[in-house]
Amino acid sequence: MTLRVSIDPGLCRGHQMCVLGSPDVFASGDNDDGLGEVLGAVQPQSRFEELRRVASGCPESAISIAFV
Amino acid sequence: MVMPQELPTARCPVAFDHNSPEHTARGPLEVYRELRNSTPVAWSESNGGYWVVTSYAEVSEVLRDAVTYTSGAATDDAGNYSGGIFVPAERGLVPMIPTEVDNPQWEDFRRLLAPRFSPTAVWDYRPMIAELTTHYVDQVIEAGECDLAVDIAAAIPASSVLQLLGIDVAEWATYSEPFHNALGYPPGSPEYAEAVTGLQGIVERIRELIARRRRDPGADLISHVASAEIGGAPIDDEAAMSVVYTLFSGGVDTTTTLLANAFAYLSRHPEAREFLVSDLSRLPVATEEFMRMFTPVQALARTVRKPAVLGGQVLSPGERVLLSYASANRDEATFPRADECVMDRMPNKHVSWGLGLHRCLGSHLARTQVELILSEVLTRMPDFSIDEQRSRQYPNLGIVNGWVTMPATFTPGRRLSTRGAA
Repeated sequence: MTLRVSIDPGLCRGHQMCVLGSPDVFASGDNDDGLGEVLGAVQPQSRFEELRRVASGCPESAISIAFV
Repeated sequence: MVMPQELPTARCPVAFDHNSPEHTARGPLEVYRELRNSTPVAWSESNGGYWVVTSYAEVSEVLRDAVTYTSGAATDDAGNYSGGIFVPAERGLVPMIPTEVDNPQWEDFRRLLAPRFSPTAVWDYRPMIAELTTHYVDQVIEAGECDLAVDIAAAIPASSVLQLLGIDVAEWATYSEPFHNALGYPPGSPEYAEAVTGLQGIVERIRELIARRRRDPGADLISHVASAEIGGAPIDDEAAMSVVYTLFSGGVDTTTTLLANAFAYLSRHPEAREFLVSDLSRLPVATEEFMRMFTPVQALARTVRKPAVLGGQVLSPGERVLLSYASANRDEATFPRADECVMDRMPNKHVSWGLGLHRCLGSHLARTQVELILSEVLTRMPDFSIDEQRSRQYPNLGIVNGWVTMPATFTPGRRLSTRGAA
Protein backbone atom coordinates (compact mmCIF):
# COMPACT_ATOMS: atom_id res chain seq x y z
CA MET A 1 0.00 0.00 0.00
CA THR A 2 1.08 3.56 -0.64
CA LEU A 3 -0.22 6.95 0.41
CA ARG A 4 -1.90 9.42 -1.88
CA VAL A 5 -1.64 13.03 -0.72
CA SER A 6 -3.94 15.77 -1.95
CA ILE A 7 -4.86 19.39 -1.22
CA ASP A 8 -8.42 20.61 -1.65
CA PRO A 9 -7.95 23.84 -3.64
CA GLY A 10 -11.34 25.05 -2.44
CA LEU A 11 -10.19 24.98 1.17
CA CYS A 12 -6.49 25.91 0.89
CA ARG A 13 -5.82 29.56 1.71
CA GLY A 14 -2.05 29.54 1.33
CA HIS A 15 -0.91 29.29 4.95
CA GLN A 16 2.01 27.14 3.72
CA MET A 17 2.35 25.26 6.97
CA CYS A 18 2.57 22.05 4.93
CA VAL A 19 5.50 23.52 2.98
CA LEU A 20 7.30 24.14 6.28
CA GLY A 21 6.40 20.65 7.53
CA SER A 22 7.33 18.45 4.54
CA PRO A 23 9.04 20.59 1.91
CA ASP A 24 9.75 17.65 -0.39
CA VAL A 25 6.04 16.78 -0.57
CA PHE A 26 4.42 20.25 -0.58
CA ALA A 27 5.39 23.48 -2.29
CA SER A 28 4.02 26.94 -2.71
CA GLY A 29 2.23 26.71 -6.05
CA ASP A 30 2.71 29.17 -8.86
CA ASN A 31 -0.44 31.13 -8.04
CA ASP A 32 -1.31 34.52 -6.59
CA ASP A 33 -2.62 33.35 -3.25
CA GLY A 34 0.34 31.10 -2.47
CA LEU A 35 -1.91 28.06 -2.48
CA GLY A 36 -0.14 24.80 -1.80
CA GLU A 37 0.82 22.30 -4.44
CA VAL A 38 1.57 18.61 -3.99
CA LEU A 39 4.97 17.72 -5.42
CA GLY A 40 4.86 14.05 -4.65
CA ALA A 41 1.31 12.78 -4.53
CA VAL A 42 2.36 9.18 -4.00
CA GLN A 43 4.35 8.50 -0.86
CA PRO A 44 5.47 5.34 0.92
CA GLN A 45 3.41 4.11 3.83
CA SER A 46 6.43 4.65 6.08
CA ARG A 47 5.75 8.37 5.96
CA PHE A 48 2.18 8.05 7.20
CA GLU A 49 2.84 9.40 10.70
CA GLU A 50 4.78 12.43 9.43
CA LEU A 51 2.23 13.28 6.75
CA ARG A 52 -0.70 12.73 9.09
CA ARG A 53 0.84 15.28 11.43
CA VAL A 54 1.30 17.77 8.62
CA ALA A 55 -2.27 17.20 7.44
CA SER A 56 -3.64 17.67 10.95
CA GLY A 57 -1.63 20.88 11.18
CA CYS A 58 -3.28 22.46 8.16
CA PRO A 59 -5.25 25.42 9.56
CA GLU A 60 -7.92 24.99 6.90
CA SER A 61 -8.05 21.16 7.07
CA ALA A 62 -7.40 21.13 3.33
CA ILE A 63 -5.03 18.12 3.17
CA SER A 64 -6.18 14.54 2.69
CA ILE A 65 -4.17 11.35 2.87
CA ALA A 66 -5.58 8.16 1.38
CA PHE A 67 -4.25 4.61 1.35
CA VAL A 68 -4.22 3.29 -2.19
CA MET B 1 -34.57 26.14 15.58
CA VAL B 2 -34.68 27.62 19.06
CA MET B 3 -34.92 31.37 18.84
CA PRO B 4 -33.13 33.68 21.27
CA GLN B 5 -36.34 35.13 22.73
CA GLU B 6 -37.30 31.64 23.93
CA LEU B 7 -34.06 31.44 25.89
CA PRO B 8 -34.01 34.68 27.87
CA THR B 9 -31.85 33.28 30.67
CA ALA B 10 -29.45 31.35 28.48
CA ARG B 11 -27.40 34.47 27.92
CA CYS B 12 -25.72 34.89 31.28
CA PRO B 13 -23.54 37.93 30.66
CA VAL B 14 -19.87 37.88 31.60
CA ALA B 15 -17.91 40.94 32.68
CA PHE B 16 -15.62 41.47 29.69
CA ASP B 17 -14.45 44.46 27.71
CA HIS B 18 -11.30 44.07 25.64
CA ASN B 19 -11.06 47.87 25.34
CA SER B 20 -11.10 48.45 29.10
CA PRO B 21 -8.07 49.34 31.23
CA GLU B 22 -8.84 46.27 33.40
CA HIS B 23 -8.40 43.95 30.44
CA THR B 24 -4.86 45.18 29.84
CA ALA B 25 -4.05 45.51 33.56
CA ARG B 26 -5.12 41.94 34.39
CA GLY B 27 -3.35 40.59 31.33
CA PRO B 28 -5.38 39.57 28.26
CA LEU B 29 -4.13 35.99 28.39
CA GLU B 30 -5.43 35.52 31.93
CA VAL B 31 -8.78 37.07 31.08
CA TYR B 32 -9.10 34.84 28.02
CA ARG B 33 -7.99 31.70 29.86
CA GLU B 34 -10.77 32.16 32.37
CA LEU B 35 -13.39 32.67 29.67
CA ARG B 36 -12.11 29.79 27.56
CA ASN B 37 -12.34 27.41 30.51
CA SER B 38 -15.80 28.55 31.63
CA THR B 39 -17.75 30.14 28.75
CA PRO B 40 -15.96 29.82 25.40
CA VAL B 41 -18.82 31.62 23.67
CA ALA B 42 -19.85 34.35 26.09
CA TRP B 43 -22.10 37.41 25.97
CA SER B 44 -20.86 40.72 27.30
CA GLU B 45 -23.05 43.79 27.80
CA SER B 46 -20.09 46.12 27.19
CA ASN B 47 -19.68 48.08 23.95
CA GLY B 48 -23.39 47.85 23.21
CA GLY B 49 -23.43 44.07 23.73
CA TYR B 50 -21.29 41.51 21.92
CA TRP B 51 -20.26 37.89 21.89
CA VAL B 52 -16.70 36.98 22.72
CA VAL B 53 -15.38 33.67 21.37
CA THR B 54 -12.27 32.21 23.01
CA SER B 55 -11.98 28.54 21.99
CA TYR B 56 -9.98 27.40 18.96
CA ALA B 57 -12.82 25.28 17.54
CA GLU B 58 -15.37 28.08 17.62
CA VAL B 59 -13.01 30.85 16.49
CA SER B 60 -12.05 28.79 13.44
CA GLU B 61 -15.68 27.82 12.79
CA VAL B 62 -16.66 31.51 12.56
CA LEU B 63 -13.65 32.49 10.47
CA ARG B 64 -14.37 29.79 7.91
CA ASP B 65 -18.02 30.72 7.54
CA ALA B 66 -18.13 34.11 5.83
CA VAL B 67 -21.75 33.47 4.85
CA THR B 68 -23.11 33.29 8.38
CA TYR B 69 -20.62 35.75 9.84
CA THR B 70 -19.90 38.84 7.77
CA SER B 71 -16.94 41.23 7.90
CA GLY B 72 -18.99 43.77 5.98
CA ALA B 73 -19.23 47.36 7.13
CA ALA B 74 -21.74 50.04 6.29
CA THR B 75 -22.10 53.77 6.86
CA ASP B 76 -25.64 55.11 7.19
CA ASP B 77 -26.92 58.51 6.00
CA ALA B 78 -26.03 60.07 9.35
CA GLY B 79 -22.44 58.90 8.91
CA ASN B 80 -22.67 56.18 11.58
CA TYR B 81 -20.37 53.28 10.96
CA SER B 82 -21.58 49.74 11.66
CA GLY B 83 -20.28 46.21 11.25
CA GLY B 84 -16.68 45.77 10.18
CA ILE B 85 -13.88 44.12 12.13
CA PHE B 86 -13.82 46.20 15.31
CA VAL B 87 -15.92 46.27 18.47
CA PRO B 88 -17.24 48.88 18.93
CA ALA B 89 -17.72 49.57 15.23
CA GLU B 90 -16.61 53.19 15.72
CA ARG B 91 -13.07 51.98 16.37
CA GLY B 92 -12.94 51.32 12.66
CA LEU B 93 -12.17 54.88 11.64
CA VAL B 94 -12.01 54.34 7.89
CA PRO B 95 -13.76 51.54 5.98
CA MET B 96 -11.25 48.87 5.04
CA ILE B 97 -11.23 47.12 1.67
CA PRO B 98 -10.99 44.16 1.09
CA THR B 99 -10.98 43.39 4.83
CA GLU B 100 -14.50 44.66 5.37
CA VAL B 101 -16.22 43.53 2.20
CA ASP B 102 -17.65 40.13 1.44
CA ASN B 103 -18.42 38.49 -1.85
CA PRO B 104 -19.13 39.19 -4.60
CA GLN B 105 -17.04 42.39 -4.27
CA TRP B 106 -14.27 40.75 -2.20
CA GLU B 107 -13.24 38.56 -5.12
CA ASP B 108 -12.54 41.58 -7.37
CA PHE B 109 -10.36 43.30 -4.78
CA ARG B 110 -8.50 40.17 -3.84
CA ARG B 111 -7.77 39.50 -7.50
CA LEU B 112 -6.44 43.03 -7.81
CA LEU B 113 -4.08 42.75 -4.84
CA ALA B 114 -3.07 39.09 -4.55
CA PRO B 115 -0.57 39.16 -7.47
CA ARG B 116 1.37 41.89 -5.65
CA PHE B 117 1.58 39.84 -2.43
CA SER B 118 2.06 36.32 -3.79
CA PRO B 119 5.14 34.32 -2.75
CA THR B 120 6.56 34.91 -6.24
CA ALA B 121 6.02 38.67 -6.07
CA VAL B 122 7.43 38.87 -2.55
CA TRP B 123 10.55 37.03 -3.67
CA ASP B 124 11.32 40.02 -5.88
CA TYR B 125 10.97 42.39 -2.91
CA ARG B 126 13.67 40.60 -0.90
CA PRO B 127 16.62 42.73 -2.10
CA MET B 128 14.68 45.93 -1.30
CA ILE B 129 13.75 44.70 2.19
CA ALA B 130 17.31 43.47 2.80
CA GLU B 131 18.74 46.83 1.77
CA LEU B 132 16.37 48.75 4.04
CA THR B 133 17.19 46.36 6.88
CA THR B 134 20.93 46.90 6.48
CA HIS B 135 20.34 50.64 6.27
CA TYR B 136 18.35 50.88 9.49
CA VAL B 137 20.70 48.57 11.39
CA ASP B 138 23.58 50.76 10.12
CA GLN B 139 21.92 53.79 11.76
CA VAL B 140 22.35 52.26 15.23
CA ILE B 141 25.13 49.71 14.93
CA GLU B 142 28.01 52.01 15.89
CA ALA B 143 26.21 53.41 18.94
CA GLY B 144 25.62 50.03 20.53
CA GLU B 145 22.18 51.11 21.64
CA CYS B 146 18.79 51.70 20.05
CA ASP B 147 15.08 51.44 20.56
CA LEU B 148 14.32 48.01 19.09
CA ALA B 149 10.57 48.70 18.98
CA VAL B 150 10.99 51.94 17.03
CA ASP B 151 14.34 51.95 15.19
CA ILE B 152 14.07 48.37 13.95
CA ALA B 153 10.63 46.78 14.49
CA ALA B 154 8.66 49.85 13.39
CA ALA B 155 11.05 51.51 10.93
CA ILE B 156 11.82 48.61 8.60
CA PRO B 157 8.36 47.13 7.93
CA ALA B 158 6.84 50.63 7.56
CA SER B 159 9.61 51.71 5.20
CA SER B 160 9.27 48.65 3.01
CA VAL B 161 5.51 49.19 2.77
CA LEU B 162 6.11 52.84 1.79
CA GLN B 163 8.62 51.70 -0.80
CA LEU B 164 6.04 49.36 -2.34
CA LEU B 165 3.47 52.16 -2.35
CA GLY B 166 5.91 54.54 -4.00
CA ILE B 167 6.23 56.96 -1.07
CA ASP B 168 9.51 58.38 0.29
CA VAL B 169 10.65 55.97 3.02
CA ALA B 170 12.03 58.87 5.06
CA GLU B 171 8.40 59.64 5.92
CA TRP B 172 7.84 56.27 7.61
CA ALA B 173 7.20 57.67 11.08
CA THR B 174 4.64 60.21 9.85
CA TYR B 175 2.65 57.40 8.33
CA SER B 176 3.05 54.70 10.94
CA GLU B 177 2.73 56.59 14.24
CA PRO B 178 -1.00 57.39 13.95
CA PHE B 179 -1.72 53.70 13.24
CA HIS B 180 0.31 52.58 16.27
CA ASN B 181 -1.31 55.10 18.58
CA ALA B 182 -4.88 54.63 17.37
CA LEU B 183 -4.61 50.96 18.30
CA GLY B 184 -2.26 51.26 21.26
CA TYR B 185 -4.00 53.98 23.24
CA PRO B 186 -7.55 53.83 24.59
CA PRO B 187 -10.27 56.03 23.10
CA GLY B 188 -10.56 59.14 25.24
CA SER B 189 -6.81 59.52 25.75
CA PRO B 190 -4.98 62.53 24.23
CA GLU B 191 -2.73 60.16 22.27
CA TYR B 192 -5.77 58.50 20.72
CA ALA B 193 -7.32 61.86 19.79
CA GLU B 194 -4.06 62.93 18.19
CA ALA B 195 -3.82 59.62 16.34
CA VAL B 196 -7.32 60.03 14.92
CA THR B 197 -6.36 63.48 13.61
CA GLY B 198 -3.19 61.93 12.18
CA LEU B 199 -5.18 59.20 10.43
CA GLN B 200 -7.49 61.81 8.91
CA GLY B 201 -4.38 63.52 7.58
CA ILE B 202 -3.17 60.23 6.12
CA VAL B 203 -6.54 59.71 4.43
CA GLU B 204 -6.19 63.13 2.81
CA ARG B 205 -2.65 62.38 1.66
CA ILE B 206 -3.76 59.04 0.22
CA ARG B 207 -6.51 60.85 -1.74
CA GLU B 208 -3.93 63.28 -3.15
CA LEU B 209 -1.53 60.47 -4.02
CA ILE B 210 -4.27 58.55 -5.84
CA ALA B 211 -5.21 61.63 -7.87
CA ARG B 212 -1.57 62.26 -8.71
CA ARG B 213 -0.86 58.63 -9.73
CA ARG B 214 -3.97 58.60 -11.90
CA ARG B 215 -2.43 61.42 -13.89
CA ASP B 216 1.09 60.07 -13.78
CA PRO B 217 1.12 56.36 -13.04
CA GLY B 218 4.22 54.42 -12.04
CA ALA B 219 4.99 50.79 -11.18
CA ASP B 220 4.06 51.30 -7.51
CA LEU B 221 1.11 49.80 -5.66
CA ILE B 222 -0.87 53.05 -5.41
CA SER B 223 -0.79 53.40 -9.20
CA HIS B 224 -1.84 49.76 -9.49
CA VAL B 225 -4.84 50.37 -7.23
CA ALA B 226 -5.73 53.74 -8.79
CA SER B 227 -5.91 52.22 -12.28
CA ALA B 228 -7.92 49.17 -11.24
CA GLU B 229 -11.22 48.02 -12.63
CA ILE B 230 -13.77 46.71 -10.17
CA GLY B 231 -16.92 45.03 -11.46
CA GLY B 232 -16.09 46.18 -14.99
CA ALA B 233 -15.81 49.88 -14.10
CA PRO B 234 -12.86 52.02 -13.00
CA ILE B 235 -12.38 51.91 -9.23
CA ASP B 236 -14.00 54.90 -7.50
CA ASP B 237 -11.94 57.34 -5.45
CA GLU B 238 -13.24 56.27 -2.06
CA ALA B 239 -12.69 52.57 -2.72
CA ALA B 240 -9.14 53.25 -3.95
CA MET B 241 -8.44 55.31 -0.83
CA SER B 242 -9.84 52.55 1.35
CA VAL B 243 -7.69 49.88 -0.29
CA VAL B 244 -4.51 51.91 0.13
CA TYR B 245 -5.43 52.78 3.73
CA THR B 246 -5.93 49.09 4.44
CA LEU B 247 -2.52 48.25 2.99
CA PHE B 248 -0.95 50.77 5.35
CA SER B 249 -2.96 49.57 8.28
CA GLY B 250 -2.08 45.94 7.65
CA GLY B 251 1.55 46.69 6.96
CA VAL B 252 2.69 49.03 9.70
CA ASP B 253 1.47 47.64 13.00
CA THR B 254 1.41 43.88 12.65
CA THR B 255 4.90 42.88 11.56
CA THR B 256 6.20 45.53 13.94
CA THR B 257 4.39 43.94 16.86
CA LEU B 258 5.61 40.46 16.03
CA LEU B 259 9.22 41.64 15.78
CA ALA B 260 9.11 43.59 19.04
CA ASN B 261 7.70 40.61 20.92
CA ALA B 262 10.31 38.34 19.35
CA PHE B 263 13.08 40.71 20.48
CA ALA B 264 11.70 40.74 24.03
CA TYR B 265 11.42 36.96 24.12
CA LEU B 266 14.92 36.37 22.72
CA SER B 267 16.43 38.89 25.12
CA ARG B 268 14.86 37.02 28.03
CA HIS B 269 15.62 33.50 26.76
CA PRO B 270 19.28 33.06 25.82
CA GLU B 271 18.79 29.39 24.97
CA ALA B 272 16.12 30.30 22.39
CA ARG B 273 18.40 32.96 20.95
CA GLU B 274 21.28 30.49 20.74
CA PHE B 275 18.97 27.99 19.05
CA LEU B 276 18.35 30.52 16.26
CA VAL B 277 21.82 32.07 16.06
CA SER B 278 23.40 28.65 15.63
CA ASP B 279 21.15 27.89 12.65
CA LEU B 280 19.26 30.75 11.04
CA SER B 281 17.36 28.34 8.80
CA ARG B 282 15.23 27.68 11.89
CA LEU B 283 13.73 31.17 11.62
CA PRO B 284 10.66 30.39 9.47
CA VAL B 285 9.36 27.68 11.81
CA ALA B 286 10.20 29.75 14.89
CA THR B 287 8.42 32.76 13.37
CA GLU B 288 5.18 30.80 13.22
CA GLU B 289 5.57 29.96 16.91
CA PHE B 290 6.17 33.63 17.71
CA MET B 291 3.01 34.38 15.74
CA ARG B 292 1.09 31.90 17.89
CA MET B 293 2.59 32.96 21.21
CA PHE B 294 2.37 36.72 20.75
CA THR B 295 -0.63 37.00 18.40
CA PRO B 296 0.01 40.53 17.03
CA VAL B 297 -3.67 41.11 16.29
CA GLN B 298 -5.36 39.89 19.46
CA ALA B 299 -8.99 39.91 18.42
CA LEU B 300 -11.19 41.07 15.53
CA ALA B 301 -14.92 40.96 14.97
CA ARG B 302 -17.65 39.73 12.66
CA THR B 303 -21.37 40.45 12.52
CA VAL B 304 -23.96 37.66 12.56
CA ARG B 305 -25.83 37.63 9.25
CA LYS B 306 -28.02 34.54 9.70
CA PRO B 307 -29.39 32.89 12.85
CA ALA B 308 -26.66 30.62 14.14
CA VAL B 309 -25.75 28.25 16.95
CA LEU B 310 -22.16 28.48 18.13
CA GLY B 311 -20.75 26.54 21.04
CA GLY B 312 -24.28 25.85 22.29
CA GLN B 313 -25.28 29.54 22.22
CA VAL B 314 -27.91 31.02 19.94
CA LEU B 315 -26.70 34.01 17.95
CA SER B 316 -29.05 36.43 16.20
CA PRO B 317 -28.58 38.47 13.03
CA GLY B 318 -27.01 41.85 13.68
CA GLU B 319 -25.14 40.76 16.81
CA ARG B 320 -21.43 41.41 16.98
CA VAL B 321 -18.94 38.59 17.59
CA LEU B 322 -15.40 39.23 18.81
CA LEU B 323 -12.99 36.43 17.91
CA SER B 324 -10.03 36.17 20.23
CA TYR B 325 -7.15 34.88 18.15
CA ALA B 326 -4.92 35.28 21.21
CA SER B 327 -7.11 32.88 23.15
CA ALA B 328 -7.58 30.37 20.32
CA ASN B 329 -3.80 30.22 19.99
CA ARG B 330 -3.45 29.15 23.64
CA ASP B 331 -6.22 26.56 23.57
CA GLU B 332 -4.78 23.38 25.13
CA ALA B 333 -7.30 21.30 23.21
CA THR B 334 -5.45 22.23 20.01
CA PHE B 335 -1.91 23.06 21.14
CA PRO B 336 -0.03 20.78 23.54
CA ARG B 337 2.05 22.86 26.01
CA ALA B 338 0.10 25.85 24.73
CA ASP B 339 1.76 28.39 27.05
CA GLU B 340 5.27 27.30 26.13
CA CYS B 341 7.19 28.81 23.26
CA VAL B 342 8.30 25.66 21.43
CA MET B 343 10.73 27.05 18.87
CA ASP B 344 10.43 24.07 16.51
CA ARG B 345 6.70 23.51 16.99
CA MET B 346 5.31 21.76 13.96
CA PRO B 347 2.49 21.39 13.11
CA ASN B 348 1.35 24.81 14.24
CA LYS B 349 -2.10 25.76 13.04
CA HIS B 350 -2.34 29.09 14.84
CA VAL B 351 -4.95 31.61 13.74
CA SER B 352 -2.79 34.75 13.85
CA TRP B 353 -3.05 35.21 10.08
CA GLY B 354 -6.77 34.60 10.28
CA LEU B 355 -8.41 31.72 8.43
CA GLY B 356 -10.70 31.36 5.44
CA LEU B 357 -11.74 34.12 3.06
CA HIS B 358 -10.11 37.06 4.83
CA ARG B 359 -6.84 35.39 5.73
CA CYS B 360 -3.96 37.92 5.82
CA LEU B 361 -3.11 39.08 2.30
CA GLY B 362 0.35 40.21 3.38
CA SER B 363 1.45 37.05 5.18
CA HIS B 364 4.13 36.15 2.65
CA LEU B 365 5.51 39.69 2.79
CA ALA B 366 5.40 39.72 6.59
CA ARG B 367 7.22 36.39 6.85
CA THR B 368 9.93 37.62 4.52
CA GLN B 369 10.34 40.84 6.51
CA VAL B 370 10.56 38.96 9.80
CA GLU B 371 13.05 36.46 8.40
CA LEU B 372 15.35 39.11 6.92
CA ILE B 373 15.15 41.46 9.91
CA LEU B 374 15.63 38.80 12.58
CA SER B 375 18.53 37.24 10.71
CA GLU B 376 20.25 40.62 10.31
CA VAL B 377 19.76 41.49 13.98
CA LEU B 378 20.88 38.05 15.17
CA THR B 379 23.95 38.29 12.94
CA ARG B 380 25.01 41.89 13.57
CA MET B 381 23.83 42.47 17.15
CA PRO B 382 23.44 38.94 18.51
CA ASP B 383 24.02 39.96 22.15
CA PHE B 384 21.29 42.64 22.29
CA SER B 385 19.79 43.06 25.70
CA ILE B 386 16.60 44.99 26.32
CA ASP B 387 16.17 47.42 29.19
CA GLU B 388 13.25 45.83 31.03
CA GLN B 389 12.73 48.86 33.27
CA ARG B 390 12.28 51.28 30.42
CA SER B 391 10.49 49.03 27.92
CA ARG B 392 6.75 49.66 27.68
CA GLN B 393 3.91 47.82 26.00
CA TYR B 394 0.90 49.56 24.50
CA PRO B 395 -1.34 50.98 27.23
CA ASN B 396 -4.22 49.19 25.52
CA LEU B 397 -3.57 45.57 24.51
CA GLY B 398 -7.16 44.81 23.53
CA ILE B 399 -6.55 44.84 19.79
CA VAL B 400 -2.81 44.84 19.13
CA ASN B 401 -0.18 43.28 21.40
CA GLY B 402 2.30 46.06 20.68
CA TRP B 403 5.22 47.89 22.25
CA VAL B 404 5.69 51.64 22.57
CA THR B 405 9.38 51.51 23.34
CA MET B 406 12.09 48.91 23.90
CA PRO B 407 15.51 50.44 24.65
CA ALA B 408 18.32 47.95 24.13
CA THR B 409 22.11 47.77 24.20
CA PHE B 410 24.49 45.54 22.27
CA THR B 411 28.16 45.31 21.28
CA PRO B 412 28.75 48.05 18.68
CA GLY B 413 29.67 47.01 15.16
CA ARG B 414 30.60 48.51 11.82
CA ARG B 415 28.29 49.98 9.23
CA LEU B 416 27.89 47.84 6.10
CA SER B 417 26.14 50.10 3.66
CA THR B 418 27.70 52.97 1.77
CA ARG B 419 24.28 54.53 1.26
CA GLY B 420 23.72 57.86 3.04
CA ALA B 421 21.08 58.61 5.62
CA ALA B 422 17.50 58.19 4.38
